[in-house]
Amino acid sequence: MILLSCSNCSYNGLQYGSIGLSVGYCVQHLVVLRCADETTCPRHLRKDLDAESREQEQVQHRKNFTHDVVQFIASEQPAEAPDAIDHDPSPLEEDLVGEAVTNWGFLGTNGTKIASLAQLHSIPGVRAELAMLSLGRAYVRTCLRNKGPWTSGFHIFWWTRRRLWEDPRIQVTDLRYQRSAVSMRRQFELATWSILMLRLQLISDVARVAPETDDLSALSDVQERAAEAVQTPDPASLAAWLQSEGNALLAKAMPYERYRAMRASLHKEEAEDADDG
Amino acid sequence: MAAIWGIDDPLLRGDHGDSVSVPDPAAPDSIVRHILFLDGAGRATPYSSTTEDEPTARIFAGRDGRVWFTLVDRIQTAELRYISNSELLGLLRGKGKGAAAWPKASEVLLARARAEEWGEHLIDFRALKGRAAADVKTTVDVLFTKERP
Repeated sequence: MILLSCSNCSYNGLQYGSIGLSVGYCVQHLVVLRCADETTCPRHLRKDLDAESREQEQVQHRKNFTHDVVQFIASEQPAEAPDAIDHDPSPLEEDLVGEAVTNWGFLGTNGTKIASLAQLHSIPGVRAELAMLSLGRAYVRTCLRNKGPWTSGFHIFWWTRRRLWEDPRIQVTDLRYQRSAVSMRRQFELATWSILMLRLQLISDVARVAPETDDLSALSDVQERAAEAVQTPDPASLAAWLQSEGNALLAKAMPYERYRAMRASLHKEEAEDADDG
Repeated sequence: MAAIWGIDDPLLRGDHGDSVSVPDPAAPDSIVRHILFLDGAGRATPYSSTTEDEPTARIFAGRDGRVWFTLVDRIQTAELRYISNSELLGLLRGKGKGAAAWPKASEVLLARARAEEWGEHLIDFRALKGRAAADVKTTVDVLFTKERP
């Protein structure tokens, strides 16, 4: 994975590291990314970094790549169909995750992105979770930039919290490439670790925009606490930390009773908005 | 799986088709910043990354680039510091050690995961700090060849 490429962009929910399909899909440019490790665009939103670093890098990336098209990183030449991009996503719709991603924001009566995220949440497997986390982080960011409430990411937060230390159960068919520098077992471990960290990044994204007086804001650096505790990219150690320390932090910041009360309150607000509309 | 890489085996680098990028010995020396491409494409760096894994080098070369070759022996003859993959992984723990020290442990671990997956070894050009850019380029030209040694 080239870190500045479309394969590491939050707007591409189909790939991250060695996990994913052989092609990506950009929900900004609405194109299939046929060589996502070689292309980028000014909207690139790194999915490996926390929100603070991600925003700093986005500013720099926009300076380096000014033409708003999918383009080759090396030459800055536009990526053209059919060899580098494709405007027809229909072959991706044969895949459940591909279908959900290519229909991003067009599901439900009103065509909402949260409906797409809910659909991804209901699909089993690590690729669906990857898409939910990746596009979910982009969704939370967009809501906040559009002056939406800090609770925009509340549902995704809870869905992620519920499976926090679960093994993402990566299958061999979930891997888009093999690397000979590490054993296959280690490649699986690194991929598993990257998904566990992505869960923490999403939790941190939501927590960091909560009011400072809210208990949830204490989780804004949860990925740092986890990384400092485990020292290396070891998924077993990280899962153990999540099950003990992480779970205790989350239970304090957002106990189930509070989640139910907030969910009821948000539901009421949504119903009132619908009535007003 | 390819044979296990040994110290006499070539190190590979995916780069431009006609030349290898020239490091800046005076650029910020954080190894985490270097590996994670922080500060964006084309950021100045005192390091040159190489890999023991040919498919990784081909990805970095892209469709218009090529794979270049060097040897640990050449790096040491040029009096540059060679940072092996195992040394690199040793530095990239917790909040990092030495030139890999970094405020965010999460980014140190990300860099470690990438270095591991890419089979990355570094050439440290900081010994050439203060030398003319042309000298640095000459050193790079001596180090890397198009032909596999």
